Amino acid sequence: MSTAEPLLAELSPLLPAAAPNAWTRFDSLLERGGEWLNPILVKECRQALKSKQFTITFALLLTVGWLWSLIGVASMGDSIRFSFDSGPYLFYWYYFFLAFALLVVVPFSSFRSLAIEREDNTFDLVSISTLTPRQIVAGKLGSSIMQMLVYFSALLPCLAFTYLLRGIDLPTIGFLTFYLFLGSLGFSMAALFIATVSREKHWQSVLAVIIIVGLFSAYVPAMIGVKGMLTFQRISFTDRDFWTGNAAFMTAYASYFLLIYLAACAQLTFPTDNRSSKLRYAMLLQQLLFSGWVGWGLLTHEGRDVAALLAYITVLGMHWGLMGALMTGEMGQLSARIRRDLPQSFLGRAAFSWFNPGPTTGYVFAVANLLAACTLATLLVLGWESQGLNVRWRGMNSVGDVFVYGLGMLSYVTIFVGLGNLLVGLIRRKFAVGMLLTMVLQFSLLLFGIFTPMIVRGMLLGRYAGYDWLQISDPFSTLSELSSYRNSMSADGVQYVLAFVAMAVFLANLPRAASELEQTRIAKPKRVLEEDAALVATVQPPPAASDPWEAAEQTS
Amino acid sequence: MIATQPLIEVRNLHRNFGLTKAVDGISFEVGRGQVFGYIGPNGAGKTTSMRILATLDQPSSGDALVDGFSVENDPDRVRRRLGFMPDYFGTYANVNVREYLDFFARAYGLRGTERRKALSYVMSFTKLDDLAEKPISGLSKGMKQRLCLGRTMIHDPAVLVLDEPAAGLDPRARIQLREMIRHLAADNKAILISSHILTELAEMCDSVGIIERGKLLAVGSVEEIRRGQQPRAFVKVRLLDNGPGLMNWLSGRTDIHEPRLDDKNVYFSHDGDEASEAELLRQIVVAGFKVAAFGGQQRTLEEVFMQVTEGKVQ
Repeated sequence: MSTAEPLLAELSPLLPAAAPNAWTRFDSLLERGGEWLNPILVKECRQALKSKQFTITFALLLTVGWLWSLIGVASMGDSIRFSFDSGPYLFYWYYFFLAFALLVVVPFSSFRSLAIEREDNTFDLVSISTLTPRQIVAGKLGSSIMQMLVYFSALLPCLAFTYLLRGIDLPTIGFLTFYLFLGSLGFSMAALFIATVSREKHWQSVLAVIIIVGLFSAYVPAMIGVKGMLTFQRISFTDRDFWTGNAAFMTAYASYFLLIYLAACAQLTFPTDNRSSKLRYAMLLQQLLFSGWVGWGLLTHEGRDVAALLAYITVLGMHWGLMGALMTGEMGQLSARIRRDLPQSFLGRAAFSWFNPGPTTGYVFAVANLLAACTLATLLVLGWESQGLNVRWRGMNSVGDVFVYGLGMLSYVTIFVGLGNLLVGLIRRKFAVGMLLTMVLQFSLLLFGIFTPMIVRGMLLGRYAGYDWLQISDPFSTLSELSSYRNSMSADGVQYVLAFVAMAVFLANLPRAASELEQTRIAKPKRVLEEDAALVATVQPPPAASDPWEAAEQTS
Repeated sequence: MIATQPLIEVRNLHRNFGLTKAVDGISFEVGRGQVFGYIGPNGAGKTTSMRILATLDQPSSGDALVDGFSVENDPDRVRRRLGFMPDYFGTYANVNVREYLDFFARAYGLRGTERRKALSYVMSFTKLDDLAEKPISGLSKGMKQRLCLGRTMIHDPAVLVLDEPAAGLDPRARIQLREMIRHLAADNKAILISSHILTELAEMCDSVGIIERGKLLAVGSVEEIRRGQQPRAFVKVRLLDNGPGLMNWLSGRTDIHEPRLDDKNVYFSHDGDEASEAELLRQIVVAGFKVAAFGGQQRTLEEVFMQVTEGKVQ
């Protein structure tokens, strides 16, 4: 240290402070902004930037990008200037490497980031902080997005370079890059959800394997699809149907993303809290969006397309079958915490009780939504028929045919999910049954329904071809029969038997639904009311001064 | 809220895992500024009940309240008031000491100056200032333990639940930890602490609870439990000679129980207070016995613990 330094240090408080330059102001602005960032995001970014996995992936991506630039350009030689294949050729391999990082590495890192918190016991510490499950999931997802952006930054210049070559345009590059981002985001969200499914280490290992297999199963076909798109089918950005299809896809993507996000949050939510209502609102929103798209499609395409209606019923049947099965895994007894916020009025209870957690309210919710969808489809065909429009499709020619298919689908969902719910209720009298076991039971019931007639017909009776009544427990064969050969004698009347059984199963579930609905609101504990009142008092502004003297006193 | 209301109230708490009753009807209270020691053999139910208090687990029945809020129905309100230090470190890879504490400060909603002040205070309290930039992976066990205590108190909770905080620490680190805990209690915090080092708990705690096989066998101050287990005074007399003679002399008295001779020492328990002990000494001397030493013997917490528990696990 020089002799002048102590003197300067002594005098520095007396000297006028240097005016902050633009950089200092910007830095301070960032510092203030950082205060409001998600804590998980801040921590994950700090960790990620120091982690070997991130450094290696980033370095590899950069290296591969540069190497491919040299090798690709050299291999094409002079043809790079005039060949219409040069752009797509170079682009594809850049995309291939980038997609590996985004579709495989980033989602798997998301899964591991949550799984490792459980392995290292840090999740306990995070979960007892004041961070909400939403903040935890959003923070993890934000960290994945951060990684995606950094990986993009490594190869985006290379992708942009291909625009200078022939055979590929900017919209195509933008479109494929955007969908790559969406894919990575969606897979990361799904991976995060899967990480919340089980806390057991052995299950986490099994899930890790499933995720890797799943990601590669998505990555390889996606790359084949992109190759085909670049080579044979150029994207037609001027086609109206192309944009309609994309909008429909985006709607489905957004709604399922929301559902998985809420499901992941629900998995991390404290057991006595309401984990279900938001999920049910999201499911209902999905039904409305899907119905809206199908309705819009039929109206704008001068429809009368029975195939679209059958697809509509089929998709919603599968959707509500799965969601109904999941909801039957919920606990029937509402916690005191949930009961504090139950609706009180008759109207409120009638409308919103179905959104409360509970296996049988969930079952009724699923059946009611599917019933609404089937009714809507039947009414639509009824409307066409009343206008004298021809609605023939694969031998189906009347409102009755759509009605029969809808009735069949509704009956199967009502029967299988309802029987599963009754079975779970019976087992719960003696043992605890969680979500995973409920799904195993529900799936086993479905498999029993499918394989029993197959075994009886094939092994005992030696019948393999055609449909007969023995297959009534197999929803796939029966629904296929109902949709294809309405006039076939073999399936005639099967829908009425199904409807009768469905009604019986539904009625058997009703007492359980009633007991779930009987739960009423309870008062908040005194201590909670005290704290709430204290919080309100602290945020309320002081009462306005009634005269100027009082105002002056308040100011002073 | 009334200031005298206990900060921790455990009411008939049960936690079953299948047929195993990990916690079986436990009830106790801890007030402001109190240190409550939780003693029991491994598998007794200490950690389970502490995890329930920390809102990491749910009771099968019964409830536990922190500052009047139920851990089952108001876990978010409980979490703002409670700091839990589990018996594992729970540290992150690729993070240094300051970043680790900074993350938890943010996780508890501390912003700006408030967060910086909390960090500065906690690092100074736990003597981690000089280690701020050191990666956690390079910390010793004692340092990690201090870091975890720092994390536990970063949001200035009114209640601290510490599960085996002194496990594996060297004597110096243990003494430092004990001082920190006394400081925190002086700061009006309610502290629930479990440990296997009973001598330390006896020095540190205002009251203790002895738990075995999920049941709370004894609760109260160390002195109260000792008195409950040992209603009679325990006396040791050291003679210059004639031990058997004193044994013979004592056996004729109705206020003397379980006399035992060990070389020149005679041990026995005695009904009565200090005055009657003084009278007894006078009578022994008058009877001609050469007394070299005479004194009351109190059982240590370890001896009381051994007497109360049977060493059974579930």
